[in-house]
Amino acid sequence: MSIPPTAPSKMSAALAKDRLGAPAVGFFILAGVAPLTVTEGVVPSAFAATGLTSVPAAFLVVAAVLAVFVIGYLAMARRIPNAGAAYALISKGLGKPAGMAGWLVAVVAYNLLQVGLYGMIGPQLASFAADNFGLHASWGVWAFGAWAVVAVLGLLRVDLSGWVLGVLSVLELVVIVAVTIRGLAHPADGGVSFAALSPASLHFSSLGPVLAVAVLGFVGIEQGPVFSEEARNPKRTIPMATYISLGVIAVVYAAASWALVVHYGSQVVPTAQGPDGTGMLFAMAPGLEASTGRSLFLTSLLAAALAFHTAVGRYMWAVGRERVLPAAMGTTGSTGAPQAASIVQSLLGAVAILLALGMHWDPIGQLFFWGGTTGGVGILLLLTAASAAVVRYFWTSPGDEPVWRRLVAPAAATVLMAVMAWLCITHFDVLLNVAPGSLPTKVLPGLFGAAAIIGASWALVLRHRKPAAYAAIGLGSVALSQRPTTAVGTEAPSSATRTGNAS
Amino acid sequence: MVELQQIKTGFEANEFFLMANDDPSGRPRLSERILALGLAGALLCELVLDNAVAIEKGNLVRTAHHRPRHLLHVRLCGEVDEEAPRSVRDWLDYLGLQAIDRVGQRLRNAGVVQFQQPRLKMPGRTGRWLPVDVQTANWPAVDVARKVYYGRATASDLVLFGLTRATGLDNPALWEIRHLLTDPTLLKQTLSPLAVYNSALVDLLTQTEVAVASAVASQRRG
Repeated sequence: MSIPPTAPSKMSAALAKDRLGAPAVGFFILAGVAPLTVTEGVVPSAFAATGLTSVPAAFLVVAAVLAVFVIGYLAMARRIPNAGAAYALISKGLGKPAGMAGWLVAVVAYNLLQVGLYGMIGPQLASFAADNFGLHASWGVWAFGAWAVVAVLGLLRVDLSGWVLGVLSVLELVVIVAVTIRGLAHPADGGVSFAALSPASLHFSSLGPVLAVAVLGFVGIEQGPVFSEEARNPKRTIPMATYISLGVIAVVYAAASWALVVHYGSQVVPTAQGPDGTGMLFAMAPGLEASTGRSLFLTSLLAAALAFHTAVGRYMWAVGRERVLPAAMGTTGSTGAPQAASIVQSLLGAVAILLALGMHWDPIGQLFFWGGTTGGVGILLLLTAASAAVVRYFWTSPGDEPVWRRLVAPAAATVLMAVMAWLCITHFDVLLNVAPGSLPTKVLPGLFGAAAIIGASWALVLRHRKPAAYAAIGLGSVALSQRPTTAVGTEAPSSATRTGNAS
Repeated sequence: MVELQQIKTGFEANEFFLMANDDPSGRPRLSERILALGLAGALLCELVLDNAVAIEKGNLVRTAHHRPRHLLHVRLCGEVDEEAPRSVRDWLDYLGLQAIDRVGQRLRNAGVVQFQQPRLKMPGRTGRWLPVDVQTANWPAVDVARKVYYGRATASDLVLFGLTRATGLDNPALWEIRHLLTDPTLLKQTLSPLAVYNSALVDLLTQTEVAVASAVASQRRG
C-alpha cells in the first residue's frame, strides 16, 4: 500500500509561488546577457576588428570553458550568498585584499561594458529616427537621450517581473533563430560549410582576440548566484538556470555567427568592415524579421545598458553596506534603488559620452567595441581569480563536495581561463585593431592592473584604519547575520515593558 | 507627555507603517517589497514582545504558555502553530506577501488610516493608505527620534529604530538620529540594550536586513 503524498502546507505553497523558479532565474540571466545586443552588435564588430571567421568556434570553446568554471563557482557561491558574488568568492578564497582588487576590477569592467553600450545605442537610435521619423540628430544627442532614460530608470528601480523578461528574451531568441535559419538557407557559395564551427579553425596566434569577444558575449552568465536567496530551491534552481542559459546562448551565438559566415561566405569580413556592418545580421532576412529585429535590438541595447547599470550599482552598494565605501553608497532611496551608487554610475556614463564626443571617437568601433571587449577581458580576469579562489577555498574547506566539483573542475577552469586571459592581453592590438605597442594596448588592459593595485591597497589601509570594515569585506549577508546578538555589559532598555516610558 | 503617549497605536507594525508612509499623502517612503518585509519583521517583533513566539536555532517557534489577545496576533500564532518549525527568513518572506494589507486594515479598523483606491485602475497600481490625522501619523517617528536621542528608548522604540536601519527608511523626522543609523559603532551601541532585553529581537532585525538586502540585489517583482 502506498502512502499518499502529503499536500504542501499553506505557507510552503505561498512561498513556492512567490519565489523564483529556474525559468524565471534563467530569464533574469538572459536579460542581463542581452543575446540580441551580442549577435547584432558584437558579432559583426568581432568579424570587422579581428578579421577572423572563427568567431562561431570561439563561442563554443568559451561556452565549454565557462561550463567547467560554473561547476565550482556555483558550489562555492551556495555557501557565500552575496550581491557581488565574484568578489565575495575572491575575498573568501584568496583573502580580503585580493577581494577588494577583484571588486574594483569588476566595477571598472562592468562600467566599461555599460558606457560602451552608449556607443552603439546612439548611432542605432539616430539611424532609426532618421529612417522612420525623418529626425536627424548626431549620435551623441541620442546617446544622451538613452543615458537619461537609463539614469532615471536606474534611480526609479523598476522592479522586474521574471515573466515580462521571459517574453522579451524569448522574442529576442525567436528573432535571432529566424534570421539564422534564413541566413543558413541562403549560403553565399552554394553550400553550407561547417569549418567555422570547428575548434580547429582557431589558430593560437589569433585565439586571444576572438576568445575575448566570445567572453564578452557571455558576460551576465555569472549573475545567477545573485538570485540564490530569492530562489525556490537554491541548490537546484540556480545551477539549472545557469546551465540552461549558458547552453541556450552558446547554441544561439554559435549558430547566428556561423549563419553570417555561411551567408556572406568570403565576404563576411569585408561586409562587417564596411558601412553596413552593424546591420549585417538582419540583412540576411529582409522583411518582417528584420524590422522586428531592429526594434527589438534597440530595446535590447537599452535593457543591457540598464542591466549593467544595475550590476555596477549593486557592486558599489554591496561594499557600501559593508562600510568599505562611504555609508551613503550602501543606502537605498524610497524606490529601493541604491541611489548614490546609481548616480555615480550615471555620471561616469555621461563623462564617457562627452569624452567620446570631445575626442571624436568612432562610437561603434571605439566606444562600443573597445569599451565592450576591454570590459569583457576584465570580466574574464575577474572570473579567473574567482575560479582560483574556488580551488583554494575548497582546499581548506572541502565539506561534502565531490572532488571533481571542488578541485578538478575549478582547477581546470582556472588554468584554461588564465591562458585565455593571457592570450587576450598579449594580443590586445589585434583585438582593438590598432598598431602593436600603441597607447590603447597599454592603457586599456592597464586599467585593470591599476584597479587591482588600488583595490588591494585600499583593503590594506582599511585593515589598519577601520578593522571592522576590513573584517566585513566580501561577507555581505553573512556579515549581517553573524553580528553578535548579545552585548555584554550593556544596560537593558530603560523599561522592561515594550512601551513603558522612563520619562 | 501622557497625552502624546496615547496617540501611539501600541503595535510596532502600525507605528512602522505610519513611519514608512508620507504623513499627508500616504505615499510610501519605501518600495513595496521592502516595506512589506519591514512590516513582516515588525509583526514578528510584536509576537516576540508579547512572548507569543521565540526563536530557537534560527526557527520561529510558539511559546506554549502564552495566549495572544489581539485578533491579528491570534491569526498569526495560528499560522505558526499549523507549520512545522521554519526559519525566520521563511516567515519574513511569507508574512511579507500580505503584511501591507494586514497592517493597513488593522490601522483602518483602529480609525487611524483610510484606504484610497487609485484614480486610474491599472495593473500594478495599488491604492494608498491615507492617515486620518497627520499629527497621529507623524508622531511615531518623532517619538522614536526623541527617545533614542535622549537615551530613553524602550524596547519598542529600539525595534522601530532597528527596522528603520534594516529597511533603509529615510523619514525626515529622524534627522536628529540619522548619524546613529549610519555609523556602525553608534548603531551597535544604540541597539545593544535590545540584545540584553531579548536577543530574538536583534535576530529578527538582522534577518529583516538580510531579506531587504536580497530584495535590493535581485530587483525582481515575481
